Amino acid sequence: MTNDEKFAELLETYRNELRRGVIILAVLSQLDDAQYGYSLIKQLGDKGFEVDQGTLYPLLRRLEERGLLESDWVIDDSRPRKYYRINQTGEAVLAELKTEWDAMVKVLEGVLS
Amino acid sequence: MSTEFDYKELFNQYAVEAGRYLPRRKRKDIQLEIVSLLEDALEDMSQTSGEQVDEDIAIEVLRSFGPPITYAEKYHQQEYLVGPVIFPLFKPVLILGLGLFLIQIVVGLFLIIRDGGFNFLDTVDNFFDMGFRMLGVLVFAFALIERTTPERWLRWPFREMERTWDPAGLLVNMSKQAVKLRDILFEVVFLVGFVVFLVFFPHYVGVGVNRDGVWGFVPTLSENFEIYQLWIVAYLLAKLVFNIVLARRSYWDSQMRWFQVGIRVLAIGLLLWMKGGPEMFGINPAYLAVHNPSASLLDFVKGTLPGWNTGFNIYLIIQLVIQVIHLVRDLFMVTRGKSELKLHLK
Repeated sequence: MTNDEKFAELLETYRNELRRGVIILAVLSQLDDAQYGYSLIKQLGDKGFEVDQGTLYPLLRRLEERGLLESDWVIDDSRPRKYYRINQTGEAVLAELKTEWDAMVKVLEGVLS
Repeated sequence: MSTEFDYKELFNQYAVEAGRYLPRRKRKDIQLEIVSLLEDALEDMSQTSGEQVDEDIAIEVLRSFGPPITYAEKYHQQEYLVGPVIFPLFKPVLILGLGLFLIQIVVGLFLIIRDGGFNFLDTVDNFFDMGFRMLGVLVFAFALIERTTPERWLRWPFREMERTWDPAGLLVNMSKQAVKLRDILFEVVFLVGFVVFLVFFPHYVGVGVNRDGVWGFVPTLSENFEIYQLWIVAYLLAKLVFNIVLARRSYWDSQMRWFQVGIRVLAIGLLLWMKGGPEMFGINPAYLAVHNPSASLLDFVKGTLPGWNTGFNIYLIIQLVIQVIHLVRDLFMVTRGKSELKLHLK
């Protein structure tokens, strides 16, 4: 493995870690209205936040297992789709995370400047 | 390419493949969701490209999801002793171990019963002891390997898979599950014929020879054959039932594979019994009580009997090896779970 390849791999790892930290915030913020996985990916993509489907779908399940989301199977156009929606706990967590995010941005702006 | 391409089957097959590596508790639900997501992606891709849904687009969608094993891996969290990275290697080793263990049980039971030292509790205790020890050593070894080997080494096969995986292979898998009716029909006819022969005409197995210008025939299945006859016929009938059920279903599923495993175990037990039991070929006293073959004919036939028995013993050994190999393969197929996926909302 060349040095350039090592660098690219390292960068990709850290970039993923950085995104992983904020993806929960982004996802929770979009689920006031119920969404199914693919529509959520499109919605986030339209807002410039690209998420890999292999990352998003398992994440939705984990958030549901941890009690932040609720889900329902709905038949749309004779096709079953699983819709996710934020619940009360999720909203409380989202509010805290937003505050944390704002504070972090301010701190990091100071750190990075 | 047909516009009526059945992408649902292909997506179901993808979900089945992914299901092998998904947590059992939520497997069905996740599989259902995977199919739903694939359909959404397909619809989107078709609309974006302005093309009708066909096999190429469906395969392109699958390619974007990646190999089922790596997709399924994302649903796991690090809560296991043997993780998804090393599990694909652990599974065949475990199956091989279980296969060998099964053979050991069959051979062990046979030897214990033959030597007359059979004690049920001791035997069960020994087998459990051996089984758990084998399982424990395997799990421990693999857990150790997973925790001490650098991840990039462990992930090498996955990287290769991502590089070379072709979604079109799922189409081949779909056709592999179908049953070949012609082969089954051939086997059914053979089995029925063989059963009829063994039940009604076993006395036609023998030696016909011309001695002193006179043709004579002496059956060569000894009275010992009657000991085996019932079990051989039972085995053949079980195979017959198996083939009929398989033909009616027209595809392989896990039940049929377990059925086949059962028949193989029966065959191995039967072969071991015949290998170690009384000889199959000899002159039956019941025949001599009714018939009176010439002394020279009888001597000639008696001279051929060691050859009959040696040949039959060699056949038994070859069959044993074949059956054991097939048993290991069948167990592998069972655990690979090549079954159809029925997706439905509750």
